[in-house]
Amino acid sequence: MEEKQNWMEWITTLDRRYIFLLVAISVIIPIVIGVILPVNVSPEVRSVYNYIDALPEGSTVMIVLDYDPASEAELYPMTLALYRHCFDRGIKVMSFTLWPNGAALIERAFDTIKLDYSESEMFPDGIRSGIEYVNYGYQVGGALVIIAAGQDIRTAFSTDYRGNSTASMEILEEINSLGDLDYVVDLAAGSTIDWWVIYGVQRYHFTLGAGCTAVSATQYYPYLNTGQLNGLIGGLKGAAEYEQLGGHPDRALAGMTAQSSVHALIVFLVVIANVFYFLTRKKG
Amino acid sequence: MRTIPRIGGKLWPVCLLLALILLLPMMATAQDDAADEGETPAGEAVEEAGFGGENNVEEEILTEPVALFEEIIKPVPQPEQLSFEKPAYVEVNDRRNDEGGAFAITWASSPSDETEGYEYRVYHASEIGNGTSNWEQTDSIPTNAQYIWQDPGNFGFFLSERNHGSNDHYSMYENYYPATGVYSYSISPDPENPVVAVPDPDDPDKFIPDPNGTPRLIVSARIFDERIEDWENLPVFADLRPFFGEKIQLEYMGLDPNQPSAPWNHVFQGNSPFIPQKVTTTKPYFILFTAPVRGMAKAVMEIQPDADDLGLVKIDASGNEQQVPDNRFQHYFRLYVVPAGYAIPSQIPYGPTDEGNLSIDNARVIAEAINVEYGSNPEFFITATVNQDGTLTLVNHHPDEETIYVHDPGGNATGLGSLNRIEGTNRWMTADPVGEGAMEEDMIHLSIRDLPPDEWMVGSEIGPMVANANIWNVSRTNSALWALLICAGVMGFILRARSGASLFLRRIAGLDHVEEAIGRATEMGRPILYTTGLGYVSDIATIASFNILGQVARKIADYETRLMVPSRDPIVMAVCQEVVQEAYIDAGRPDAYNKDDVFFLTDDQFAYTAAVDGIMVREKPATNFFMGMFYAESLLLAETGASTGAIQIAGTDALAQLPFFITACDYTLIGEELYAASAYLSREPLLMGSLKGQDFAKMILMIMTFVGTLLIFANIDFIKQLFQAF
Amino acid sequence: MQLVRKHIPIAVAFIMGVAMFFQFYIPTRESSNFLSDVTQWNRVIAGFALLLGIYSLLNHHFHKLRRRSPGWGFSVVVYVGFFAMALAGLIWGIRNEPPIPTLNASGQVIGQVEVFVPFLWMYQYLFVPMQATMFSILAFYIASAAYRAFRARTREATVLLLTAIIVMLGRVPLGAFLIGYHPFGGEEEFLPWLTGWILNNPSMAAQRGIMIGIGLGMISTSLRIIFGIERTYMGGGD
Repeated sequence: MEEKQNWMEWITTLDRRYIFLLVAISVIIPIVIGVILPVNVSPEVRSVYNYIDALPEGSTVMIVLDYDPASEAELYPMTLALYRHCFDRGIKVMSFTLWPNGAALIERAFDTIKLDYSESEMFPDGIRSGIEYVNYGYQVGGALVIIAAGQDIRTAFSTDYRGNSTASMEILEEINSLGDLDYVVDLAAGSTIDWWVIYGVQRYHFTLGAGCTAVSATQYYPYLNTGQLNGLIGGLKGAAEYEQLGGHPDRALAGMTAQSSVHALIVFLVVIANVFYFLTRKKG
Repeated sequence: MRTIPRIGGKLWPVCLLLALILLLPMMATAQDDAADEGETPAGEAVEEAGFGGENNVEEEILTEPVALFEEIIKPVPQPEQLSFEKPAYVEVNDRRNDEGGAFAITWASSPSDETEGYEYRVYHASEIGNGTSNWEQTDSIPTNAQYIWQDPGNFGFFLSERNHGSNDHYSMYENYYPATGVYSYSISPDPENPVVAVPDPDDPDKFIPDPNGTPRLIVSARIFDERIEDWENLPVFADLRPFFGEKIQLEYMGLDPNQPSAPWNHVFQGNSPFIPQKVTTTKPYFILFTAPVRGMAKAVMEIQPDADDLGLVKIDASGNEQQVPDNRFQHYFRLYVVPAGYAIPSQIPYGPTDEGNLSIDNARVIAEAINVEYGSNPEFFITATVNQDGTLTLVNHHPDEETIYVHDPGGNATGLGSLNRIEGTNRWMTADPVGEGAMEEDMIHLSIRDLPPDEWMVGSEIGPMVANANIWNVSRTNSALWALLICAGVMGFILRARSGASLFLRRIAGLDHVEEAIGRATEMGRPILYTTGLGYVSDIATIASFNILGQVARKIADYETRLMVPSRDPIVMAVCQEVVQEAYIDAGRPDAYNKDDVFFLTDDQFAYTAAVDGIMVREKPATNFFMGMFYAESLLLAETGASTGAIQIAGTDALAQLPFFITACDYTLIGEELYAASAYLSREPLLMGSLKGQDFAKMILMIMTFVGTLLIFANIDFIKQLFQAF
Repeated sequence: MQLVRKHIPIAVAFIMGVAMFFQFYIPTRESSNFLSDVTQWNRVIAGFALLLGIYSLLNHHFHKLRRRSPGWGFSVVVYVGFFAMALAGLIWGIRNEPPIPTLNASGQVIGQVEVFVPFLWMYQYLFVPMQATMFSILAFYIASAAYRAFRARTREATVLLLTAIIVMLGRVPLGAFLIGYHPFGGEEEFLPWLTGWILNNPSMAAQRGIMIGIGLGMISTSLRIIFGIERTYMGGGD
């Protein structure tokens, strides 16, 4: 009996390293097996997708990559999914970041996407910097950049990432400020979505969508509810939903199986812990 | 540790369970109702709602078009005559004439335009005036096409999705839930000489050719929504503006309408609604707008339904219908309507070329607004054009439009932005900031020109006018008043606290245990770790953390316990050093202060986290304080601290990180408790006063929320209006 | 000295705070220009703060090296890493270059050579994996924290536990797979629907309440800063 009680207590106070090991196994096995589960699409993600899908060809969308490599696993797949969707629809894309470590990520994303569209019907000349897309790189100032871009986008972004002047850039022909954009999507690992809502949407009246890490997603539902955000792509699941909608399955969909198994494991562990907690409490 | 308040006493879980039992089925019922209503065909919906019947459309701007509307509106073909499944019913009403013209329709914005299985057909009834019979169906026509007919008669346009290919799409063009109302359309037999019908002044029920020959585009809309059973008593939808979207464009083309691919002169564009401000109706149809037309016009309407649950029906690949609850979308349809009479050549003299037709009494240019007051003739278009010499030319004006736009000579929108009509007046204001170089020396010349822009005839020139700057943005007045009210509350309580009044603060568990936590560290002979988080000195949470640090350091100084404060930002580090040093001096222990214990690590998020984790594992502090702005590293810090056996008190206003701190720490300050902490610990009157002021503002908001919610049920939304810009 | 250290900063904070408050409500061209200028100035100052960060980092580790404080070897790593990335970026650039075509004798392109950019290589193969690794540790920590702390000790904790389980399962495809129908007849699977309901209703309501409170706290703190009541940002007390 005592042995059983010790065993139960051992389960209740299980060394975290065993838990780490179980988590590692539950992540590795699905990835190695390579099963892809279809995801159900949530209305929040569909909103973003439908909005971009409804934009006419030639529209201009700003996709802001406010994250660094730490959040790349969740936010980079949705970046690629959004870029692909925009270019599939013939929509021009502008990007920048408020995080210093994010500038190279934008360039990497465009370099990846360029290969897919180098000889597409929509873009016979491929997608060209300054014409079909532009990367403004890292912008210092946080929320001040949003205000500056809302006042005058060429002053806020005087050059692109490669140092080309934006004064006469073709992609900015009809764009003078944020209010002239057809859509803005902020992919944020931090709290920059709040800045975009407060200093962007409320001042300059453009439509804003957002993508964020799963842990932050819950705090943006109030904005979704009031319409300040028109859609929200939350975490890897949101990225997977977007990939499914866009018809370009990629890392996010591939990662959902691993995420499913880890979630199941955590639920299982929590249930087990509670069961044994109550059992030991009863005995004790 | 319990950080979640117990509500409802011991019966709290029972209350929650009851609430769930009540709420969940109610939501399911709402969906079931929508599903049960099924597919009432468009025709039945039209007839049931009495489309074309009583003319109780209440509009402050337009009344007479209702009569005309009635004349042309014909009953919709019965759905059984249509061999479609699930048609989306689109109606266009051209009330300008019943003699014909050209009718063109294009559409777009299917979410899956490129998938197979879409069918679009047009129904044409050659008989004008009466029948539902003889509706002929065209062949399936491709998406994104532009169709122009020159045959007289009435048209109905139907759109349906037969299947959805591989993507999971919904039948978004369902005629209900809601759809644009485009009813019948009439074509003149002689598009070169359109006849415009207007109500006979002697007999409003009759129509006579418009002696002025002013063609008009009248677009009406109809809501097909099976959920709306009783239009008469449906206050929620009485004001249809929220129900409809905000993007309507008008474009004019003065070119040969037989060339559908000819470019449109894009004169108007924007986000302002073309819906008359005060259209309310107890009928499912209403007039969106009327516009004098020169040349061919098309109205693009993008609808953004506001309803949460649109009760859309999904058709899968097998053609089976499934209800889709909680579906919402933004754009689902664009209707391009080309009215009859497109072929009016631009050479036809057309007002406002006479000065008497339009007078501009006064135009004041305000840096972010242009106020133009003009005379009484509502018949003409004006758009404002900024000329290269900085003068402003008003080109087109529509009395019923909400917005006229400002373009440079190249036709591009300039920094002057759009002009919005001020409701009920003949004054127009810009909504957008004024750009550079838009005006020279504040002199504005206004002139009226005809369309299209590249063939403008110079009309009367009005001006010059002197621009004066507005001092105050009236539309933001309520926001200023709210801000001042809150400021007054805060300052009032500060003054009250200064005068010695005693102010009550409720207990904050985390802060009550600060002393105990410090004592524990002292007894164990281990240091105390305090981190201000990853915020910068400009973050409010960091400033609140400084306050707490000062109080904590003051207490620690008495105990001679070591205090370590790693910082992520050098400016924050500098402030922390000053704060801690001051605290030690205030406590009378300046010698105990060690500058090296308040140090800068790195500004990289996870490098900082790894470094602090390393400090926790090596130094094994007995007490950890996490106060400030945290991001993803919160759990890393808290778990590592928990593993070392430290007592942990955390406080952050980062909503996403609160669950992790609550889980892993002993005490957590949630949100504004962090801001209150400085007042709580110091009991300084000024800080207490500002805290009470904050609570005062919160109390007002809570009362207004509660009262406002109750009033909304009675369809009184003035409290909601108080919070909206006007 | 008091004038420079205390009174002038407070005066500047007050003047700018009030000015920027009223700027929002004054639509004149001058006001708009003022906002643009202040925004630009702020961005310049923020840029200088980066320099300050670099100086502080190097200075701090320089002192550690000089004094041979415990862990000074890591300070060497800091210097090596800092200068390696900085110099690599300055010398060879930080942007991807298009591949250089390889030509044969007659000038035809027969292949291409990828341009090696050391900065990008270090970024992609050192920095990115390290950052991603640190973030990934969260997954393990969340599991262990959940295992340790999610105990149904009280009623509230039980509700928290049940909600967490529902949301964890509802947010992955597994949840839809587990309960593949909707007990109330809806179209969506039950767990994802329930998760969505939780996120859109009670969770959103709670978040909104906290956000309003935080917003008011920010207003109050900002007012204290503007009126000079709160001075800790200047360092020290009164």
